[in-house]
Order: sequence, then structure tokens, then C-alpha cells
Amino acid sequence: MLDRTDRSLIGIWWWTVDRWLLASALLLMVIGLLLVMAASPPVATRIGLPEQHFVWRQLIYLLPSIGIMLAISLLTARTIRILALVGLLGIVGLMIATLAIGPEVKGATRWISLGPLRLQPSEFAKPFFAVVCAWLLGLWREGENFPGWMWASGIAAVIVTILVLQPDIGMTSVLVLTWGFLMFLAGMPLLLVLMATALAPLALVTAYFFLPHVHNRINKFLDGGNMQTERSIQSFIDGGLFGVGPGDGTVKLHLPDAHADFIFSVAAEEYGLLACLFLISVYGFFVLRGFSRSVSGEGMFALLAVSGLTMQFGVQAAIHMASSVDLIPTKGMTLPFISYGGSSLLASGITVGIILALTRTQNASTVSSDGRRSDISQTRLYPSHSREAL
Amino acid sequence: MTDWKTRLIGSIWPDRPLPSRTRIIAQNRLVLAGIVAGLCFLGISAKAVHLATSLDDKNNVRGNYKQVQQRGPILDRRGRLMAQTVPIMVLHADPKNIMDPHNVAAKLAPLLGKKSKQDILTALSRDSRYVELARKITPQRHADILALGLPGIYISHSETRLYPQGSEAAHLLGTMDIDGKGIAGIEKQFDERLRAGKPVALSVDLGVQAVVRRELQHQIEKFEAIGGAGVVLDVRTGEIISLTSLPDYNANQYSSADSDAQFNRATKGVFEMGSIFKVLNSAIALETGVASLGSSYDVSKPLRVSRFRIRDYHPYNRALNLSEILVYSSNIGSARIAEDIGATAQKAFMDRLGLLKRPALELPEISKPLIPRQWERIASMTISYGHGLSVSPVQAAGAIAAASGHGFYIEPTLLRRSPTSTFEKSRIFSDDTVRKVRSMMRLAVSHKDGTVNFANAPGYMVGGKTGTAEKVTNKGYNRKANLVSVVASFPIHDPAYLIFIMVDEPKPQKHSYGYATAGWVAAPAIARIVTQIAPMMGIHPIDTNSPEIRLNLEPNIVIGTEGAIRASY
Repeated sequence: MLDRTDRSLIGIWWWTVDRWLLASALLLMVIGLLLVMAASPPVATRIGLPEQHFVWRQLIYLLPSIGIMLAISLLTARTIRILALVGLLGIVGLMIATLAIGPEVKGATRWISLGPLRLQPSEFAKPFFAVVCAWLLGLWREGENFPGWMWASGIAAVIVTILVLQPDIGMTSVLVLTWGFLMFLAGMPLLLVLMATALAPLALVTAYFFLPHVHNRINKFLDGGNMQTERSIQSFIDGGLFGVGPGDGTVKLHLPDAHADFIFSVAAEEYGLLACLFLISVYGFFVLRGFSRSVSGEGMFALLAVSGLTMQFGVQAAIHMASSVDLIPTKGMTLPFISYGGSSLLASGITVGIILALTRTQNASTVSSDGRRSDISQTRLYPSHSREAL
Repeated sequence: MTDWKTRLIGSIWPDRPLPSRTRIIAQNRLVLAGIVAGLCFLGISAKAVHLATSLDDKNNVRGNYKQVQQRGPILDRRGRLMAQTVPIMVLHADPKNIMDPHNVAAKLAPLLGKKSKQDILTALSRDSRYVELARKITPQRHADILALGLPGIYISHSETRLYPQGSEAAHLLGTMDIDGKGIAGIEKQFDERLRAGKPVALSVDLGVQAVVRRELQHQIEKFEAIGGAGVVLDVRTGEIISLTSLPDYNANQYSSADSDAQFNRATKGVFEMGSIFKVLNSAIALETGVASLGSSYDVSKPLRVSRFRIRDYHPYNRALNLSEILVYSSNIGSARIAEDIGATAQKAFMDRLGLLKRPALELPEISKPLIPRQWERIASMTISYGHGLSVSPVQAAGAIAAASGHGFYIEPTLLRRSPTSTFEKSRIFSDDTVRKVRSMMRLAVSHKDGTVNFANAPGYMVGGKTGTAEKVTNKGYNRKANLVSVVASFPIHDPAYLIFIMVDEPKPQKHSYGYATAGWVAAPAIARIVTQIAPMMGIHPIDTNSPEIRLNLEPNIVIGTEGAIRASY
């Protein structure tokens, strides 16, 4: 293994990265591969593709995803900020292009084709937006009279407009939530917080009355007559504690996109409740660990960016799992690192990569207390962390 | 003061510069967010635990989520099965996954007796992902097919609805569509209840049903008729003990029956009922007091009313009293009585007897009666002997049950009533009126000049009335096509059941001396039905001389000209 005296980039990385977060992310990826192997063959045969089609695609995306995650986790805060800003600008451009020329898939235009790959740009907007937003708000709180919150809100408004046009209500809510969460952490007056909390149900009611598919979903949830939900619930009942066994489940035969939007139900049926609880606790652990590690970075930027990204990761997982157990209306949202989906995997890789980069230990407390390695000060990694500025 | 939170955070992450105020706010709020996130994940875990551990009470959970339950059975009044859902195995194939259809067909053919190799091959070559090869596979076949290990061939669980009685009460039971939704009969009417897995207990008695169907079928064949209907009613509760429509079909093969067989003549068909309405006419006359048993009416000449002529089948060259008009079935006499009753009063009675509205019977296949647009003098005169108002057999039975039973009108029902259950009954006729009407009906059977002699079932005190109506065609009444019916009550001194039998277009036969009237066609069926169902329903034969009969029937009825003969029952 790496020696503690190893001063190479990798060496420093290994001793400073949060290994708990890294381990949870890798664990989720492995579980995800297992589940897609179980859930996707029937879906593939149903639409006339080779049985292992989705498994291979998942692998093809998984490796770059791990690569991106690790590569990003090596970067410094400054590089990440530049990367996020450039990325966000590029993606907003792509999203506008998608609106104009993208193929319509299942009633929405959110995909764009790059050769054989079809990507969903809005997936990448999520982490980049969180970083840029955190950066602007951090500047606002720690810098001189920079109106960061205005900039952040403006960017949020632009992206939300595009997302509503696609339409992609799930992604819209995740972005609005990210923005609100960061504003909240950045010290938004409590009165405004309360008002915003009151406004959220209002937004839901508006969506219910003005967006037909939202109307349908919510009606079905309230009536309980939703076939998807019934199947999903049945998978929990049939799975019991230990599941019916890998590959023996039937829910995947009946649910559309079982390998993406209902992978948690597949897990419940084939691997059982205990496996599900384990999965929930891995996500729960990741979120709480992410939150608590976010304060270990010195600047407001790191705190905001890490907690914002962690929240995105957690919210997405929570929405997916809550739909599966019929706590909320069905919302096609992928389970990060687990569900099949190239864009989702790559975006999750980016998200966790940034979290890992920004939570790397800033002093040598993990190295030793005798001061032997105290020269690995974070000044090398983050030259100007106390007053962040590009 | 340095508050506890700062110190707490300081203790977790030591060796840090004192955080700024902005940071403290952020950290505090982050703690809150962490708590919320934790609660969310706990909530999801709790719901998952709830769902997964509700295994023991699976039915309950399924109920909550409206899971499909096995459809409830339909039972007769004694709890005998009329319809039941049973699990079956279905053999099906996915042609896309079958590599060698010839080989598969050759292997399956010997196991599926009914289907030839060619049939199977055709099915397997279809451009579909699902072809059904066989239903209701036996466990042995199931095992044999599994042992073949053919890819692309599947066996799955399914359900089927069985009607173990076949054609018995087929119209009543109805059927379901391919998705298991009731689309006719009781299956449709009580779809929701049955889907919820609950049984439906009918008032029908399968034993009585079988007797009525057999005897009706017998008369239809004997007189080369095109169809018929039968109703047996419990006059005290309004329960329908039997409801028959012929021709019928095997309830298990609804879709292969033709539309005439599917048609429920007993509830969906409306007919001019003919002379059985004279029972109502006499009862209304007695109840309103416009006539008594002794009132006499001149029937010697056909009655001219504007452009109509009312005539009698057997002309009588004299005046007839009220009882004779019913016993001999005189149209002229009935019309004259109706004149005295008046159209308004007649209509009001018909309304209270449920003849002017769509019945509330528990079947989707019911029709509204056809009511004359103008209910005035002429209409009331023809309605008195059953022309000009078309009602369904069930409606007619319900109305006549009031006049020939205990004076109460009870809407007929197909649901079983317990002895203690309460239901709506309205008194239409007094005890005195019904006693007189019952006496006259008994004489129509027992008197030598009565029209219903063949309905007599010794010891069971049958009282009845015939009805023969010419069927309406586009060109008016068709003299050759008759609808003949008999309505009968027994035991008439204390009625328990009413039987209605209708035969559609009977043809004159040698064995009936060229007659195809109700007395020849329908009345014999009544006698045979009564002798068979009375023991089933717990009714014992009675000595015709017993004082009970004298007490419950009218002693002073004069029939015929040979002096004033006191009625003998």
C-alpha cells in the first residue's frame, strides 16, 4: 500500500481522501451492477435486444464513471470551480440545443445523441449547478459586497425555465431544491425560509392543475389504482425478509423500465427486505457522512458545495425509494449508482468525485499527532482556501 | 457566551480556528438538514419493513391496495353453487423464443388431445409474443409438459368462472368479459360485490328452477313453440324462486349462444299479457266497490267502441256475473267492468302494482313497460283483458301476486330474504277482496266450465287464470301467432307461491284436438310443476273437504245457469 511518506499526487490523495465516502460509493456501484444484471435481461428481451445488452452498457458506463470520480477527486477546489463553470455553460448550451433538435423519447425531449451514446445533459447540470451556486454564495458570505445570491438565483431561473420546457419536472424540483438548500445554508433569513417552505406545496398544487401528467400521477397515487405502484408493493410483499432469490423475481417482467425507475423494487423482491434496509443505510450513511465532512473544509465554498451535492445525491435516492414503497407518487427517478442509465452513472461519478475532492482532509490530523507529517498542510492543496477567490 | 453548539462542534473537530458567524449558522442548519434526511431514510425503511413483514396477513395488504381477489361465488337460496371461480393452468407460448416450431408442435400434440399438430404449428407461427395453446391443464399434463423442457413454452396460473349447473338459470347468472368484468346478469349487477370476493346469495331455488325449466321445455317441444318464460314467486316475501327463459344456453359458453337464446324473455321481454289481467280487473272492481260478486253484465253482443269490436272467444247469450266473467274469461264482461271502474282509477291501481315503471329487479336486463299514450276509456277497456299495456313476465307476476295472494304488493327480488328481514310491502287489496279473487281463481281450475282445468294438482288447491294474446307484428295483431300464459297460486286458500308460465307461439297439435290455447299449452305444466315443487318447498297436500278451505274461500259463488249452485272447490 501507499507509504505515508509518499509525496506523490496519488500518495497525498490516498491519505487525505475520505475513505468512508469512497467505499460507500464503490459499494453502491457493485450492488448496482448486480441489480442491473438481475433486472435488465427481461426488459432487454421485451424490446428485442440481446439479453445482456443493458448489463454491458452499464459496465461500459461504469468504468468511465469510476475513472471520472477518481480523477475529479484529485483536483483542487479552484480547478473544480473552473470545471463546473465551464461545464455548466456548455451544458446549458446543450440543453437549449436538445430542446431544438433532440429526439423525443417517451414524451420528453431531454436526450441528445453523441454518436452511439445518448446523453441527458440535464443530469450533468445538477452537480455543476450546485458547485457554481455554492461558489457564488460562498463569495457573497465571505467576500466583499458581491451579490452572489442574485447571480445564483438568476442562473437557477434560466436552467429551470429550460427544464420546464423539456418538460422534466423531476430534475426541476431537484435543481430548485438545491438552490433553496444552499440559500438556506448560506444564511437566508428564517422568515424567508418559512415563506419558501410554504410556497413549495403551492408549487405542487400549481403543477397538479396545469401539468396533465403530474395531475395523472398524483390522482393515481391518491386513488391507489396505479398498476406500477401495486406491482412495486407486491414485490416487497413477495420478497419478504430474504427475497425470492436473484433472478427469480417477477416484478421486472411487469414494470416498464424496471432496471432504471424501479430497481429498488427488483432489489426488494429478489434480495429481500434486509438487503433493502442495507441499501437504505448505505445511502443514509453517505448523506450524513457527506454533511458532517462538509464542515471539515475550511471555506464556505467547500461546505456549501459538498452539502449541496450530498443533498442532491440523497434526495434522488430518497425519491426513488419512497416511490417504490408508495410513500409518494411515482416519479421516474434513478437510484444513483444503482439504476441503469449512462448519464445518471456519469453524473453520479462527477457528483461523488467533487464531494471526495472537497472533503479531503485539510490538515495532517489523520497522519499523526506527532507532527511528523505536519508539512502536508493543505496550503499545498488549497493555496488560498481562507479567502476563496478564483 | 460561547454556546454549547460551538463547543460541541469544537469537540468533534478540534484544532480549528473559531468559526465565523456565517459558518455557525451554516453548520447549525446543516445539523437540521441531517436530522431531516435521517428521518426521511428512517421513514422509507419503516414503510419497507411494514410492506415486507405483512406477509402473514397478505390478504389484508392486498385489500388495502385493491389487489385482485378471487371472485365471490353465486349461491342459490339453499347455498348451492351456481357460479364459482376456480384456479386453472394456462399453457401459452412466446413464438419468438421457439427455435423449432415443428419439433415443439410434434411434442405437444399428443399431450393436448383436442389440438392437432397442425393447429399448434399455426399458433406457433403467429407473429405475436403470446399465444394461448390450452386452458385448464390437469396437474398430470402440467408435469408432462414441464418435463419436455421446451423453451418458449410457459404455463401460468389463471382463473376461470364455472357455472356448474350449465344451462340452469343461465340468463339470471349472465357472464363476464375476458378481463373478468361482469357484463350480463347477476355477474354484472353485483360485479363490485363479487370482485371483492363476497358471495351473492340469490332467492332462487335450484331444484324449483330445474323443474320449471324442464316442464316449460316439455310444453314448448310438445307444441312446437319458439320459446317461453317461467316465474315462481314467494307471494309473502316477493322472492323469485325460479326465473326461466327458453331457449337458453350453457352459461359456460355464453359467447357461442345466439342472440335469441341470450334474450331474457322473463325480464327483458315485454308482452301484452292477455286475459290473466282479468284477475287484476276483478280485484280492482271489488276493491273500489263498483261491483260485487253478484253484479251482472250483458255479454250477449260484441261490444263496439269507436272503431274497435270487443268479442268473446266463447260467446254467451246472456248476462254473466262477476265470477262467471273471470271463470269463463269474457272480454266483453271485463271491458264493461272496466268502464265502471274508470280509466283514472284503473291507472292508479296499475301504477301501485308496479306495472307502469321499470322494475327495480336486480338484473341489468330489464325493460320499461309499454304504456298507452292516452289512457282513456278505450284503452282502459282493452287493458282490462290484457291488451294495450305490455309488461314483462316478472312484472305481471308481481302484480297478480298482490291480487291473488294476501293483498300486498311486494317488488319482486332476486336476493334471498331471511325470515326476519324487513322489506317494503304496500297493501293494495283488502283481505275480503283477495279472498273473493282467490275463490274465483280456484273455480277457474275446479269448475267444469273453467278455462284452467288442466292446472289442477289434486290436494294442492291450485287457483289460476289463463291468458291468450295475439302477438303484435308490424301489421297489427297476428291471429296465428299467440302468446299463451297461465298464472296460478297455490295453495289458493292460503297462497304461498305464484307460478307464471308463458309459451311463445305454440302450434295447434293433433293431441290437443287442434287447440293451442293457454288451457291446453300452459296449464298442464302448472299441474306438474306444483306436484313436484310443493314437496320441495314444504307444502303438504290437503283434503279438499277440510274446513280450512271453506273458511278461507267464499262459499256463495254462483257459476252457470243450472240453478244457483254454491261453489264447490
